[in-house]
Amino acid sequence: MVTQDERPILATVGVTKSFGGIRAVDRCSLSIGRGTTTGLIGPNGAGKTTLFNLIVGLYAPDEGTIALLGTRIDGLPPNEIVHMGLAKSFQIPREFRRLTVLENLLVAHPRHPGEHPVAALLGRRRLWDYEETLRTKALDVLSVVELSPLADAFASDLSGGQKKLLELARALMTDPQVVLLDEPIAGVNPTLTRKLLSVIEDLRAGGMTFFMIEHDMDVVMEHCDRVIVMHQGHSIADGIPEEVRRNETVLDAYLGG
Amino acid sequence: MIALRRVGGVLKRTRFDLFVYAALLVFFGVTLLGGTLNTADVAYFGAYVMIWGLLALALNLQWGQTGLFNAGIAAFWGVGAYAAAMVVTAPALPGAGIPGHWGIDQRVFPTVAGVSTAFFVAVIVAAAAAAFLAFVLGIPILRLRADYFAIATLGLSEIVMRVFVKNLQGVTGGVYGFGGVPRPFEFGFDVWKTELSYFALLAVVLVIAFILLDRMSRSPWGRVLRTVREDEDAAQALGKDTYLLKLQSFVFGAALMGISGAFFAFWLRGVYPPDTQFTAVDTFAVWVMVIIGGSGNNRGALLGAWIYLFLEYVTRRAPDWFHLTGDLGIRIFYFRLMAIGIVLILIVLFRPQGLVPEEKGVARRPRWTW
Repeated sequence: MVTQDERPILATVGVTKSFGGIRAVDRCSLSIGRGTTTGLIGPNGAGKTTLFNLIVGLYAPDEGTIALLGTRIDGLPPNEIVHMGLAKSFQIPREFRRLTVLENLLVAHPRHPGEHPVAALLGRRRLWDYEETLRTKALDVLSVVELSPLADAFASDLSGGQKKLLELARALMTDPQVVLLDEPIAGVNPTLTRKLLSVIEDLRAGGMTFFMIEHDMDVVMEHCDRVIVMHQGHSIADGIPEEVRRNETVLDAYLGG
Repeated sequence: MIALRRVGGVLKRTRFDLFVYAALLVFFGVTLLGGTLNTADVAYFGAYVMIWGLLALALNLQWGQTGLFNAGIAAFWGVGAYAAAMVVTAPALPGAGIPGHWGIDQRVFPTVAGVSTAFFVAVIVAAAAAAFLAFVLGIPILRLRADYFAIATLGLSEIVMRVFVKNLQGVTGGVYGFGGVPRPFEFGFDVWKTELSYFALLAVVLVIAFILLDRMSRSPWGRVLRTVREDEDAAQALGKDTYLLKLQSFVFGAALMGISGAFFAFWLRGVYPPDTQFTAVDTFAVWVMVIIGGSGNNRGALLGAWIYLFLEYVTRRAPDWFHLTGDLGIRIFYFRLMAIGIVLILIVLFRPQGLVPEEKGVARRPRWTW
C-alpha cells in the first residue's frame, strides 16, 4: 500500500503562511501518492486547516510551491484549481441553504455550459439535455451517499451528519482526482460514520486519492494508508500508521512535551 | 398570534399575487365606472407602476438571486433616463438663464409606422449607458462583500447623480434638467389615448422583460447565482468564478434599470436631477418593493411594486376622494410613510420571505426550447 516511490499526485515544498506574527504553516513539505488515503493529524492549531486552504487556493502561500500532478497550482484562484481535479469539503459544512439537495449537487459540476447569462437567455434545447444528463449523474451520486430520499429537501433541513455527506457528494460531482476532507466524520453518528468511510473506501479502490484531516485515531489507524503529523506549522512525522503511533516526536507534540 | 400564523400558513399555499391583482382590478374598475377616476388617470398610474416594476425585477436579479446589496439603483435609473432623454430631444444651446443640454437632431431618425425610431434607439442607448456604468463601477467594487458593497454603491450613485449629472451644465441641463421629452405615441388633446397607448406599450415591455428574466432565473445560470448569494466561498471552492458571475448579474440588472429609466423619462416628459428625481429615496423604495413582494421571486418583486405604489397613490388622492380638508387633507399623503413602515414591519415579523417567497428548486426546463 505504501506508494512513496511513485510520482506524487500532490506535493508541497516549503510552504509557509503567516497571519500577523503567527506562522500558521511553516516550511511544510509533504507529498501524497496516487490512489491512497492519507491522514493529516496534529494538535489543535498545528496548521492543518490552513494547509488545506493553501492547497485549494483559498489563501496564497507566502513562500513555497504546491504542485498537483506536477503542475504548480500555488497562487491560482480556487475555481481554476477545482477544474484541475482537486476538490475539498469544508470542516463545517457550507451547504447552499436555500437550494435543494439535488441543486447543491447540480451546481457543483464544473464548466456547466448553461451557467452563462447568454446561454440562459437563449435556453437552447442542447443545454437542457446536458442538464438532464447531469441530473442523472447527480441522482447517482446521491444514491451513493444514500441521500436520494432527500433530493428535493432544502439543504438547510438536513441533519449535521447528512450535511457532511452532502459535502462529500458535492466534492464528488466535480469529478476530482484528489479530495481533501476536513474532519469528514466529526459530529457524525456511528452509523453514518461507517457509511461515509465505506463510501470513501470504495472510491479510493476506484483510484481516487484522499487526503483527510481527522482527529479520531481509530479511524486514522484503520482507514489511512499513510499518516502525516503536523505540529507548529510543519510536518514532523510521515509514515504508515503503525510507525507514526510509536514515534517519540509525535507523542511529545500531542502530550505537550 | 396563533391565528395570524394560521393565516400566514394559508397564504403560503396560495398564489397571493393573484388576489392582490384581482383586488386592484376591482378597485380601479369601480372607481372608473363610478367616475371618480378617468381612463387617463388609471393608465398614467399603471404605466408608472410598471416602470418601477422593471426596477424591482432588476433588483430581484441583483439582490434576490445574487445577493448583491445594490444601494445605488438611482444612478443606473437616472443615467438611463438622461441618456434616453438626450436621444429623443433636439440639442439646446446655453442661453440667457438656460444651461442647455445635449440632444440629437430628430431628423436623423426615420419614422416607422408613425413612430420615430428614436425611441427604440433611446431604450438601447439607455440600457447600454447604465450597463457601462455598472461595468466600470463593478470592476473595483464587486470585490467588496455585503454591506461594504452597499456603501460603495450608495456613495458612487450619489456622486454620479449629484456631482456629475447635476453639474454638467451644457450636457444635462444642470440643476434645471430639461423637459420637452416626447412620448412614442402622441394624440394631442385626446389625453386618454396618449396615456392608454403608453400604458399598453409598457405592459408589453414588462411582459417581455418578465418572461426573459424568469427564463434566466430558472436556468443553470440563475441557480449558480443563488450559490453566490448563499455562500460565496463555498461557490468558489466548487470552481465557480464568483467575481464574473456577480459582474454579469450586476451589469444585466443595471441594463434593465437603464431601460426603466428611459421609459420613466418618456413618461415624465423630462428629466430632473436630485433632489427632484433619482435620489436615494427612490433606491430604498425599490428595496421595500422587493422585500414586501418576496426577494428571489420575480412575481413577488412585481407584486411589491404594485402594493407600494398603490399605498402611495391612495394617500395622494385621498383628500380629493373623501373631501378631506384642513390638516388631515394635507398630511394624509405623509401617512403613506407610516403605512409602508407598518406593512414592512408586519412582513418582516410574520413573513420574512415576502408575500410571494422564492420557490423551491427554481431551475427548471422552460416549456419552449429550440
